[in-house]
Amino acid sequence: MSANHRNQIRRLAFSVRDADCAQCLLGIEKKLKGLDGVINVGSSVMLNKIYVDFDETKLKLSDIEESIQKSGYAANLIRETSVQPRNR
Amino acid sequence: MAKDPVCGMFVDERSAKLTAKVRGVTYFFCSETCMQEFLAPEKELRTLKIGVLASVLLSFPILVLTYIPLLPPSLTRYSLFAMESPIQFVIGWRFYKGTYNSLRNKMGNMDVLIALGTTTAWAYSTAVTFDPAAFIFPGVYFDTAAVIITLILSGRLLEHYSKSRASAAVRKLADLQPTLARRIEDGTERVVPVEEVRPGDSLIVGPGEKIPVDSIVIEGDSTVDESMLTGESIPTEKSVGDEVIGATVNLSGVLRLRAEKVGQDTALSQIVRLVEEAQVGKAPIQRVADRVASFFVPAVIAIATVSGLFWYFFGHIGLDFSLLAFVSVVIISCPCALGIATPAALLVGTSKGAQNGVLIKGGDYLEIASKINTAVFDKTGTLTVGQPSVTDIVPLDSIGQEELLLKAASAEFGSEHPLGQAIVKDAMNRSLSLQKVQHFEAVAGKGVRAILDKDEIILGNRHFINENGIELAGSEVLLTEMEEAGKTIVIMSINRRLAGAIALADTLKISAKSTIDELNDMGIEVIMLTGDNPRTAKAIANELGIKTYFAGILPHEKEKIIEQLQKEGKIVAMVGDGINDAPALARADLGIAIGSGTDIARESGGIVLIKDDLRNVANAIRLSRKTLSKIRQNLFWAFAYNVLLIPIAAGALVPIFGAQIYGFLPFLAAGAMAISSVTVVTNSLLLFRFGNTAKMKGRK
Repeated sequence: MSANHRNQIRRLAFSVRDADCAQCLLGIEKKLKGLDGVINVGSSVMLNKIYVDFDETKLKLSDIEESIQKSGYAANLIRETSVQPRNR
Repeated sequence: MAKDPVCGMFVDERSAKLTAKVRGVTYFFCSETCMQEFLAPEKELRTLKIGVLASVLLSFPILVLTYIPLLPPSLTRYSLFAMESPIQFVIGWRFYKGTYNSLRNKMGNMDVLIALGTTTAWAYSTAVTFDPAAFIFPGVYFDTAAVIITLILSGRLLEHYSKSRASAAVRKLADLQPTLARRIEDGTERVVPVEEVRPGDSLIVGPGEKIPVDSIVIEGDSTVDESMLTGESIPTEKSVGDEVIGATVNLSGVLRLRAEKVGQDTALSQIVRLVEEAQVGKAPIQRVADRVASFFVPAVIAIATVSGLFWYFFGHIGLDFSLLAFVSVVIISCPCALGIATPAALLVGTSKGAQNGVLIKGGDYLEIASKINTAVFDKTGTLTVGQPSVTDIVPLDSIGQEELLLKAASAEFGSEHPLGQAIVKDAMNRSLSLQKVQHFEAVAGKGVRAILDKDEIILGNRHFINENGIELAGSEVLLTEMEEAGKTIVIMSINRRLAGAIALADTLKISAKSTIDELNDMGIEVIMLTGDNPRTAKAIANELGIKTYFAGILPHEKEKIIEQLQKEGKIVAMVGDGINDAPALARADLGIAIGSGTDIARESGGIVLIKDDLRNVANAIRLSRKTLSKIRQNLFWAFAYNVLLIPIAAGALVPIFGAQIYGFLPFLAAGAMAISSVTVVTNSLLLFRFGNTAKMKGRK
């Protein structure tokens, strides 16, 4: 594994429980955006999912899980991928 | 054969430890996480159902006691208090919890409004119950709080069902994932879970079986049904060397495959991921709604407070009706319909696209796709098949047709240019044995120079021939004629003397003409880019009904042309190959990549077409337009709903009907709030009816 590979940005997908509305998810988004090392956060109210792109060198997975918990919702990590550059 | 309903992994029923029985079906799980993931929504749903049932059962006697004087007033009040408080604090606990989270995250949500409204009614009524003497009119409004909670929970239940119908398409896509594969191990066949298949493994797929993972055919011929991923109903022929996609169904023959991509790299996994993540990419239109929703809750509380105070101090309708005015405003406003208006339509629109092989990568792309007024197509490989073939061999000196072709093919042997390769292929097909050249030199974008039997052969386009000072003289007319017929001409000279020409043509794709007609009908200007000379380009453009084209374009110039069109104020979509045309696709307002393989995530462009079918370009734009208009409709209703009903709740109708309407307005408010989100989601579900031209009009 090269050094380059280790410094990758990771994308986590969580499924969130008990979050009934778009505003609840926006609240979690807001909390996560406050973390140093979180690059991008998005949520889908229809699928009850939150996606977090973060820099592995600055944050650990457990920091993110803790932050979601602190916002008052239960979440399950369902997938972890490396981020594809999003170009149009 | 059991399958984990969450991750789709194979689970052996005999050794499975994690099982759950839901509605009479037993499910098997690969891990604790998957089981939780599956059971949590089931549990949530059950809690919600029990909540609805219990609140209905309790609300009924509450309503009876409120409106029919069966007991003395004070006993009635105590009984109502005793029956409503469990609804308020046990069944309604979720609203308090939501309020707490909302305050903690500093983001107002509808739980805050519901908790505030119902608690107000409960608190006032409780005060009356325990100290009726302090009030002029000792009436209680426990029924108001009870009915609001019952209606809103019922609304959530309905919303849950409509939401799961909307997300069913994504789930169905993930469910396509095969579970087992037949692998050849040391000459014998063994059935293994798909997760154990590694790239390079040798697999066998019989008729009627699913292709386990993305693979290459190494033996056998068959037809494969790819409709589940591409939307194409006609099965595709597959033979040795062809790519087959995991989860598609082998129909006729037995195929032997070499596994190429497994796990998260398969086309299906990439598609599911893309569709899911597309829900996150926000359309600009949604950002506006989100901003409104974020200050919506405090604004509503302010309006409610003002109207309550107004009615109490200036309207003189009494403390109870003034409080009910506050409650009505708080309950009738629904930020939730605003919040879900875009995501609901986006989910249905993008799922519908995915079912038909159109992957829209996000709401932002969808919105721009709906606004496109210019579509730029790369000619070779996009409008045409991309494989030119020889149509005419024209000797222009004392040389035979066969000799001309033989010399040209020999000179071109080793050329990497598609035209050169087409000439070589034609010679091979005629079983000509090529001669060895003594010297070979390729000049990029122009032609080749070779020494063959001490003769100097120069072969290339007009430019190249002119540069080398070779006279075309009387042959000019004939060459021009062929070019005007849409053919590409390669001219050959022997020792600087014109020998002849070979004409080649690329076949247009079956759906090219009908797609361009359709785009024109949709008001989209179609522009073609090609490396051909102007005469050939004109002929092809005419054949396709394209008015504007740019000829003689080198690959790196495509980007500049798009930039130029944008400067003219056009909103440009570029249609091309997602990997080779990446810079042009990125430059355009919208890149539409025509699929070239199973590596979908690598394709640039906001929209990726899985199948090489041009009709999907028009389908993608039509679907985007439909979805965006659905989003607008949803947002309009969500806004109109709040704008119209908040004034009514605040008392706009009191001058007409009197303050008595507050005896009934809170119920109306709760009913309206309960159905607003469901209405928005249900309206979005109508998008599933979107029809494809590919299916409606059949193949042209």
